[in-house]
Amino acid sequence: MRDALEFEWMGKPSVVVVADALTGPADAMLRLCGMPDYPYLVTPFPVGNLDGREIGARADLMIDEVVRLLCDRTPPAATVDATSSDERLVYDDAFAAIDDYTRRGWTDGLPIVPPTRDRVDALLQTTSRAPDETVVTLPTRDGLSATVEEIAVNAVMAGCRPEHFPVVLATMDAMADPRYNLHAHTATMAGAQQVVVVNGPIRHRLALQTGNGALGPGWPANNVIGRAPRLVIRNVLRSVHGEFDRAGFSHPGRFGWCIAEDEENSPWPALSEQGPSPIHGDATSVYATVWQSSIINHARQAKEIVDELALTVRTACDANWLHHDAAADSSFYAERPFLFVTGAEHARVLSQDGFAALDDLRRALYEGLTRRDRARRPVAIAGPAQIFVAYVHATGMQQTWFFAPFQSHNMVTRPIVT
Amino acid sequence: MSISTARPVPLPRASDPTHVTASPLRAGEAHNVALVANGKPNSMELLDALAERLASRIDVREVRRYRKPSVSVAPTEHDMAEIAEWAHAVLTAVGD
Repeated sequence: MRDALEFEWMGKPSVVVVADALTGPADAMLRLCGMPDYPYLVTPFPVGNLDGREIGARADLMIDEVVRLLCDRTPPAATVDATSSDERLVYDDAFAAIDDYTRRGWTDGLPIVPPTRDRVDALLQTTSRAPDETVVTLPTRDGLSATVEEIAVNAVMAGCRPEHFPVVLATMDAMADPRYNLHAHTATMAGAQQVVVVNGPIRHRLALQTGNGALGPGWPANNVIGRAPRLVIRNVLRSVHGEFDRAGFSHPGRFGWCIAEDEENSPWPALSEQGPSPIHGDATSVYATVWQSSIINHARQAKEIVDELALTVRTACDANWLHHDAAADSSFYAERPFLFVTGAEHARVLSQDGFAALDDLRRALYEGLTRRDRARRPVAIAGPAQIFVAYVHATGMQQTWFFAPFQSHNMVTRPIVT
Repeated sequence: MSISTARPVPLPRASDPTHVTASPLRAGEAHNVALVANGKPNSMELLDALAERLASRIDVREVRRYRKPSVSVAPTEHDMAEIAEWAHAVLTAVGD
């Protein structure tokens, strides 16, 4: 939709065909751009499974309207929105504020910490960056952006304390990188989750959980740092249903998901050091995932575990449009990441039985993921370097988790400045 | 004691007055038509089918096909510049 508007502003009459499942985000874009009455064509979703005859039938249904929209159009007047910048948010107490924020749709459904001026200022004092500095901009949402202060407001709401804010700010810096493609996976019907992985000594200073239970609730630092970017995405960047979020099922990981690695017990380099531009010390990496798969295997030989990991992932990717035939044609393909999070037993067996070096493990997994057999197509992964392995000291289950990537994104890592 | 809080969402924006739709195609002229597929499966196939039918309804001089690098990103700067220079009308699909 944004492209069609861009062409219109160039003076080129345009017609955009929108799938009926996606009219919500299309209408949100039109409102955002001040052109709520811009006409477009709607066709039933999906289009991708139609054969040539069916596509022709769809075109037959639409062509009269295409001609009309190109040749017989009356340009609607641009709409000028009224602003209400002087609205003051004053409440009798915190509970009244929480109730009102919830009623306005400014929360993720859970209670928030009211962002009073002093709380917001306390976070802003942890950075030398100006409150009005733009941190992230989404050109595909007509330049919708988030400033340092807007991020701080939402971080307070998420429950962040001042010491958490440098991690949140660095995470938003990482999310701002076009390679992360934030617009796409916060709008997609797939309901992708934005996972944050923290490395470096700051994990200890903030008491981030790196051991048992590290992927779940009950760890204040993990949970509020994961929640803050999601509130920014929701409130400032407008990924809400009825606007830019079109998730079909969505996912509880969208409340926020922050993982901290147990680097001290990991046999491999920290996740922040595994990419082409390694960052040592305090760092945050952002990854977009659409589903996860657990692999539990009690084998004592590393090759058995590698084979099981590869088979499970190959099977799941075959069933979820991440196989080579469906997902290799994209500008994001060459660096599309595939993240495994291993626990204690698998890491021990793997590292003690031939895979002490991460590159050896990557090569073996890549070979397994891209093996062609009669039942499953190869995974759409460009090379061994696209495999990333994070470690949490989860014990007892002899388990690894695979985080399936959102197709059109790359993992981005940024230093945390304190 | 009452509390005052910060607004966590952006204020509504005033629209850009230059953001208006284009004028209709002129009758009696031949037109260059750009097809911009966003990369979703069958998007170019649908645009091809529309372009084929459009050519039987209006005077189409030439059709050029463009494919975005990936879903949910803008067309390349090169493609945008070429479309700006060359095209009289644009069809895009499958939008979101």
